[in-house]
Amino acid sequence: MPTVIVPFRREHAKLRLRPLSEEARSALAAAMLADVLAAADAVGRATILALEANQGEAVERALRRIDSGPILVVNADLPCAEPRDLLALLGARPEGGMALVEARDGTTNALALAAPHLFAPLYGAGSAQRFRARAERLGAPVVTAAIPNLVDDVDTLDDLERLEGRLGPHTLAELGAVLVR
Amino acid sequence: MNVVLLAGGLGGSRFARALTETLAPRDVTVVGNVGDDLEVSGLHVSPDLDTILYTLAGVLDEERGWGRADETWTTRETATELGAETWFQLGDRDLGLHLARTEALRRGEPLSAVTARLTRAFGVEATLLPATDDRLRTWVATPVGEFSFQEWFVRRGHRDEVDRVRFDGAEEARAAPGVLEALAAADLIAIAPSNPFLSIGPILAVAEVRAALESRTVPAVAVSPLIGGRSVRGPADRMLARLAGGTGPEQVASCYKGLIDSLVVDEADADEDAGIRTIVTRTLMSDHAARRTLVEAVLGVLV
Repeated sequence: MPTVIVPFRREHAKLRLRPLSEEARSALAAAMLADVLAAADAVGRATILALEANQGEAVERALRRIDSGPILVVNADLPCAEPRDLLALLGARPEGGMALVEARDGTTNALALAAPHLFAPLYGAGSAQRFRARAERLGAPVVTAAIPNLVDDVDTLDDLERLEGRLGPHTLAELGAVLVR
Repeated sequence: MNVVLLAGGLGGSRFARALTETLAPRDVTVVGNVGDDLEVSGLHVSPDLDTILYTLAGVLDEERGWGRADETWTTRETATELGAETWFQLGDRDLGLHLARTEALRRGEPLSAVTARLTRAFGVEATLLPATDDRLRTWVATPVGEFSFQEWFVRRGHRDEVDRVRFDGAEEARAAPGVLEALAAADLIAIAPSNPFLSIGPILAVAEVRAALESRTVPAVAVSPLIGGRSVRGPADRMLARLAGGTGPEQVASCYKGLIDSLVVDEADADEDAGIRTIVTRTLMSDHAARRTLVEAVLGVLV
């Protein structure tokens, strides 16, 4: 069974989606996470990293227990993610290598790894390129998978409104509630 | 949002407090362990319920982790001088509560009703319920014999290894009034970072409570009492090693098989598999900020 690691930085999530109230931002962050987890639970066993600091190190630590088998690392701000998207990402992973989904801004939204050592705490600006460069140094094949539901991360209210037709049920319901308020 | 928490003593009371600090206290129902209850000099003492009550009322002695702050011991000293058995320490303020409870129980008031009255009297807004009003007592089998819980825990300083835990009266025990109703109305069921065998075990030994968890329609989560494979306090790690075969998330989760959907573990234990959906955060409730972070991590993920 694949392991699905979902980093969730609540404080970070709350900074997004201005100008909504803090309460609304929290609720939307939790709803997006719920949609990601619904997809994650359908394809593997989820581990949510609810830590504010050192997210990359926390992922590394969580990967230590995994001896074998594919690993997904999926961000919590991908409310369109469906089980088939995660399966597509797993399927895109080359033998012994990794598949990654790059966001429009060059950061990394999701990773499928053949083995834990392919991960390194490289999150942040330009991370997709750095993940690719690192894998190449290790001699591991890399595929950049442009799976639309995993490319579309959410930073703003505009993002949510733009994606409305594809949002997962938790996010859609919460967005409705927020817009009514 | 309604949360029902199954809780033992100190770990349970700290998590109960964390919930009431983060949510509206009225939305929190704590179902407390009564397997530790005992009679001391004819008085009915409910150590876990009292620790939760004192904690929520803000009068717990935080240093000791039991009894009341600013306690005096005149009664106990006098009783000791007069030859009474006083190994189970009851301070003067604490004794006042046991007098009030024992008197009410003798009048025929159920433990749940007395507890509700005492909770109100302390100005606590959360609901505190005993798991059962019936007599349920924890017995601990060790290589040197079987002891009642407090005899083993307090008098013998929990030094004997535990081979088996038994809950006397569990077969006949019914859930206390309000417990099943609270579970049915819950949006989230939580199991506190308490000892799975000694604190949560007696609650789950009440068949109606276990059945309610088994047939739940809302998420249920347990918070592991371990940090880095060690219990923060008490013998949970030793018992997990001996009775469950290890001191990792997997062994904690095995105590709640079929009863929880997720296990919250400390970041120090994140490198071990729990065999169930895991939420990794910091679980040490050292201060207000830490308690809030833990509760927000749990609620943010689950609700």
